[in-house]
Formats: sequence, structure tokens, C-alpha cells
Amino acid sequence: MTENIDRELKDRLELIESMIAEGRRTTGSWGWTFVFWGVAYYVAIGWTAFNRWPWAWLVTMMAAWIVCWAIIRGKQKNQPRQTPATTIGRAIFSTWAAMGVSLALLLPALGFSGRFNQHIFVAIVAAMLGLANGASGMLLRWKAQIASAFVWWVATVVACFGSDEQCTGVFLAAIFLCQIVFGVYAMIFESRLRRLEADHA
Amino acid sequence: MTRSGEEQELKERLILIESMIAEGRRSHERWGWVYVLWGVANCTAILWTALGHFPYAWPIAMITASVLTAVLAVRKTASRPSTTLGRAVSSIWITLGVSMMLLFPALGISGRIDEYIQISVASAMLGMAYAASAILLRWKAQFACALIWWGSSVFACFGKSTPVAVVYLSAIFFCMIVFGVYGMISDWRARKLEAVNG
Repeated sequence: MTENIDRELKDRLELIESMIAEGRRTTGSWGWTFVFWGVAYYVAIGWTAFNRWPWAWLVTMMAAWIVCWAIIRGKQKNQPRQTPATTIGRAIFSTWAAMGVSLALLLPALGFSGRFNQHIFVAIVAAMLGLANGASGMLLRWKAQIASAFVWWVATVVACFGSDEQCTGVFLAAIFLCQIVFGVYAMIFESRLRRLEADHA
Repeated sequence: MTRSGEEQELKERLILIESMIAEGRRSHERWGWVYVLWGVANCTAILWTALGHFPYAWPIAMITASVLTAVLAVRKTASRPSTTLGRAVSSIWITLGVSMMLLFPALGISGRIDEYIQISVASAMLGMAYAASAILLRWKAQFACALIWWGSSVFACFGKSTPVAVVYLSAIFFCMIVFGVYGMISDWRARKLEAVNG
């Protein structure tokens, strides 16, 4: 009986470990979205800074949503066989999807009601991204993503207490580290795994 | 592997996922008391601030609720093994707690917040956590709560002081206290059924 329980626990642990590895790999395959959104943030920040057009953020974010959705659809069509969703994959998807909806509702509402300034904007976006990266990093036991969450949380606090320049600087640095660098790292991680699989096949 | 073998594997995987979701929802119901505790803590802080005009009402209420949650959670989880779904849901709530505990004191101390922004941002963040958990557990009641939070978030940006407070207090009542009690009753019923079935 004790042997059976031990065996069951071992099987369960192995299943969890394999799910975590699979989940980390799936996140790696989505690494391009981190880079894509990082670039979209830079475009919006640059556009606002140089042109001072009040709709720059809204237009850039909506365009980014449409392009991102089109790329995902295109990728799904090109895949020969759909792989079933894993529990960890669904958990990560649900976290990012819920964050997207929350930000898409909150930020325009704050903007249109005139309750916004740069510091509040950066603090909210950084706190939300810290939440999503932290949840995903904890679930996947992925130190690089947990480190990204910490960078976002530091950006949240600096945005509240720092000057305008410090707020902009920390936001640009956090986007670079947590979107571009982490996204490229995730893409390299996934391509290495794919190459390893191809070698073993 | 043959086609029928692949289909069988997929079917088994789906059955496993379904059973994990059911287990996850059941274990989430055991945490119904946390929703009630935080609902009461929020209401206490709001009333204390409104009636007593005490500036430290929010920090005291939130820290007390955090300590109580941590102590009771440690006692509850010590005897149970963690599941993947349980870890997924707990990671969402833990990081929500960290984000809120950093964001709101920082905004408050730096003087960059007013009651509208506080309600709007808190509702949006709670909406996010409720929605993520609801999609994961396929739980309609929890998703309905997420919609209420999101509604409260948008309303706080455009509404006037009293209606905004009423909507926020109603959201706390329905999404924390009522939803938490519903979870506790479901858990109590399931436990009674288990006891009857041996």
C-alpha cells in the first residue's frame, strides 16, 4: 500500500515536472510577442514624445493588437497539427488574456476621464506586467521571468516617487530588459530545444 | 503511433485535464473564507476612513488581513499536497497581493492617488485575477464577478463620488462576501456528500 502511494506520488511529480517543462517551452514559443509588444511600447512612447499627439498610444496599441492577432492566426493556420492545451498553458493564457482585458478597459477609461498622468500610467502598467510575469514565472519556476517581474515592480515604485525623467527612464529600461531581452532569450531557449529535439529524432 | 492510439492518448489527456479542473475548483472552494475575510477587511477600512477619518485605517486593515490570511493559509496547506491547478491559481493571487501591496502604498505616500483612481485600479486588478482564475477553472460564477469588477473599474472613472462608492461597496459585497460564502457552502456540501458516501 505504502509502495503504491509512493509510486502514485512519484508519477504525479513526474507529470507536474513534464508539464512545467512543456509550459516553459510554450512560453518560449511566444517569445516573439514580448519583443513585439516591447517595440510597440517604444513606438508609442517615441510618437508621443516627438509629435505630442494625444491619440498616439491608443492608435499604436490598437494597431499592435490587430497585427499581433493576425500573426497568431497566420501561425495557427500554418501549423500542421493542433497540439492540445495543457493545464499550465491554459493558466498562462488566462493570466495574460485577463491582463490584456483589464488594461484595455482601465487605461482608456482613465485617459478619457482626464484622471491620468505619466507617473500613474507607468505605475499601473508596470504593476500589471509585474503581476502577469510573476504569476507565470512562479508557475513555470522560471527564474528569468521572476526577475522580469521584480524589474517591473521596481519600476512601479520608482514611477511613483521619481521625477518625470526618472519615470521615463525606468519605464524604457524595464521595457528593454523585460520585453526585448527576455523575449529574445525565450526565443533562443525555444529554438535550442527544437534543435535538440530534431537531433534526437 | 497509430491514429486510434493518438486519439486514445488525447482522450485520456482531456479526461485528466477535466478531472484536474474539477479538483482545482473544489480546492478553490475551500478558500472561500479568504474572499469573505478580505471583503470584511475592505469594508472595515472604507467605513473606518469615512466615519473615523483615520489616515492609517487602510494600512492597518490590509496588514491585519494579510497576516491573518498567511497564518490561516499556512495551517490549511500544511497537510495537503499541491496540484498544478492549485499552484496556478495561488501564483495569480500571490502576485496580485505583491503588486497591490507595492502599488497602492507607493501611490498613496507619493500623493499621486485619489479615491477614483484607487477604486478604478483596484477593481481592474481584482477583475484580472478573478477572470484569470475563472477561465482556468471554467467557473461561470467567478467570471461574473470579474465582469462586475471591470464594470466598477470603468464606472469609477466617470461616475460621481457617492454612486462610485456605492458601486464599489456593492462589488465588494457580491464578489467577495457573497462569492466567498457561496464557495464555503459548496465546499461544506461536497464534504458532507463525501462523508455520506464514505
